[in-house]
Amino acid sequence: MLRVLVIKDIRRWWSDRQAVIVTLLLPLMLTAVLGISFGGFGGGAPEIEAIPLALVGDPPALLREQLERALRESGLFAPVWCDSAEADRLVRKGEVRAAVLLPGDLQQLLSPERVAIGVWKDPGSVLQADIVEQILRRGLKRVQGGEAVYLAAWPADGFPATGEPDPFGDLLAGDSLAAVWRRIRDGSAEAEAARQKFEAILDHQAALIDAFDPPAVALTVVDRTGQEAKGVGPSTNMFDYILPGMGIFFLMFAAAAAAGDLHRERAGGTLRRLLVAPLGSSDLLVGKWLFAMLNGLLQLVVLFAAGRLLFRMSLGPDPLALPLAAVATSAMLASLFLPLALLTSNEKQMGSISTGVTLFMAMVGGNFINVDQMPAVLQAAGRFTPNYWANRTFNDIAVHGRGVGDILPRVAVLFGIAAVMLAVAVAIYRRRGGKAGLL
Amino acid sequence: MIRVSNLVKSFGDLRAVDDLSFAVGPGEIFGLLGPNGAGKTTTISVLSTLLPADAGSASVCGHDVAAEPGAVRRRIGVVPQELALYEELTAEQNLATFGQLYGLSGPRLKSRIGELLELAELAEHARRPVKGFSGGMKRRLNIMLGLVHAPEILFLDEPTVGIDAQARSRILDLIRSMNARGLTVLYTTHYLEEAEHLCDRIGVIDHGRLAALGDKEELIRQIGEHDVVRVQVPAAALAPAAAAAAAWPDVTFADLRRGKLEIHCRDGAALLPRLQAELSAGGLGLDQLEVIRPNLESLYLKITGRALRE
Repeated sequence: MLRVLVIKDIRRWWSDRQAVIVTLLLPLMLTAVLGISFGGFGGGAPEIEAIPLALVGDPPALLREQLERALRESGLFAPVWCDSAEADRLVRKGEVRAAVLLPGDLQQLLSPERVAIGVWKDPGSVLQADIVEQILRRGLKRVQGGEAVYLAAWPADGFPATGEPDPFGDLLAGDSLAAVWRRIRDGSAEAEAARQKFEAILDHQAALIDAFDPPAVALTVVDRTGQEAKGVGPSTNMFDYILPGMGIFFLMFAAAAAAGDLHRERAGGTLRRLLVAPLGSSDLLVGKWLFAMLNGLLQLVVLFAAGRLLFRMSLGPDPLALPLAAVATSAMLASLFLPLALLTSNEKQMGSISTGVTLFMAMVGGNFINVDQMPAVLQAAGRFTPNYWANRTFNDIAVHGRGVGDILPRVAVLFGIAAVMLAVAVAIYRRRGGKAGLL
Repeated sequence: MIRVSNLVKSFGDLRAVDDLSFAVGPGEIFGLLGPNGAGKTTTISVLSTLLPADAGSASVCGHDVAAEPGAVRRRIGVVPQELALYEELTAEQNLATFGQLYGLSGPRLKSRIGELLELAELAEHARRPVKGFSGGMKRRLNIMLGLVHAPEILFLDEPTVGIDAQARSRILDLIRSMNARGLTVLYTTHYLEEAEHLCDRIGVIDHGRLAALGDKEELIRQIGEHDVVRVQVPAAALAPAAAAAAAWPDVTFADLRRGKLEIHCRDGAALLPRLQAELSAGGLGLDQLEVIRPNLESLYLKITGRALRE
């Protein structure tokens, strides 16, 4: 019986173009907008407003000037130099999106030792702060890669090592690294050829570092709520939590629509017809729940597949973790709005309430802003929203690279919420007189 | 097949069904006739196990609707008043869905769907989404959905509301044809002509109470209604003709109304030759003659004091 009910709803959903668009295409479209906004497609320079950035440290004047110029010329950043106290104030007030705390001696970046760089992020501007973090990571990687290439091409015991003529000898001659870089950057056609070759080797080297080496530079990322400081894995991609957050957000709407189908069936008269069929006492409710769960699962699969292809979203190291989290999340959200559907008198009423509930839960539960970066009060409140647990579970997988064993407690919470909400729906159904209450 | 005894169902202060009793035999088309709000749909809801009765009892095919709802549901088909169809699905998918809910599958289901689509003259439209159907086609499919599992009894709740005369005629033919195959039908309507022409017996229901019960002739006899004969004669002859007619046996009323002589009698047709002879003897002729037979409209007016479509 359940199979028949679910197939019937799937057929209805599939033949309703509007429902298909809302369920599948709208999340994809929003993802695409996000992707274009942040250059996720790699098809040209991203056009975003320059991000205010505080730089803390005291490098040599030349380096300081070069760093600031490079940041400004990138068009992405509007850097200001300041001390750590001022940087803290600017981040807390939201006047800069992040502050980068450089090591006292920037030459440390080129040393084989592990170097610590701090990034303070403005929790109110999580996306821009994350851009700073991501670019910094990539920049550091290139610096490390560049140093390795440089040392390979220009050994410490002099150049050329073999005594053969060196086409780049003049370029690489000099007493300071900065002078060499300047010649390469501003030089002749030969310098340009050298630069291109150099960059190709550098990219290759950076990729090798990516593949084999542990990061030599540890970024310490701290939000400025003062509550929690945490390191973020070296491969963090902002889409790793934006996409699940958006997916869950849209899934809540889809789940509300699926539960509200009880009202549509009642208004259309088909509910009466179903109720006189020889179904089990709760088959109708369980059927709606199963359909909503499958529908949600499909939505997440499409979104994650698109996220992987378009934005290189991390699916986590454990191939079972993401499917398990997706099933648990879909099961939870599918049950979430069934009690509301039974307590409201029509689809319009249901729609208004469910939209309000969804937006509130999305804001508090971390669908728009990473929960870690929300104020303490909201973080505490977020724990009481079901979507918080789903967001956390996906964060564990995609951001922190955790496996099935690590996410099991949160998955259990999600299934627990699903069971409770389904039981509440059945209890309301029975309390309202079963079939008679649905008419 | 259906037995209803002293059934009561209230919604708050409103007694929708009030001490209702009737029985329907096998193969019968039984009509529940009454205006909107009379309690027809509530009665069907109780009989189809959707609503529990407050008092009284009802059984369908020998199964008590309260104690054995599952057994009742498997034996009945229900055609709700509204078009209870999945508009996004095709006619075939609608039938398949409900057939499967009643346990049909495979060749049996396919054969049944084909048979019903033929019966409803929808075979050519089997794979079209229902939302593209005309009102009449939807109504016919609506009825077929109640029949897909071959029930013993079909409850039809005003199945012809809002459709044109031609579509209505096809639906009534369809019901007669199904009844001819042995299906028992409980048919609710507020259309007198439907009840008159379709139903073997009729229960007139008003304010949840059964006001009259029987076949058409029995109902008319129950109210003791007469034929009405209206005669247009020359003005000078009106008064004497009325006085003469009033003295005739079987005439219960003879007087002037709106410039015509109006006579109420048992048998209007039998009265006509005598009336003509009397008038001819007095040198008068008939200018205009009208005989009105009693019908369910007049019955309903007499029982409830209001027109049926109020």
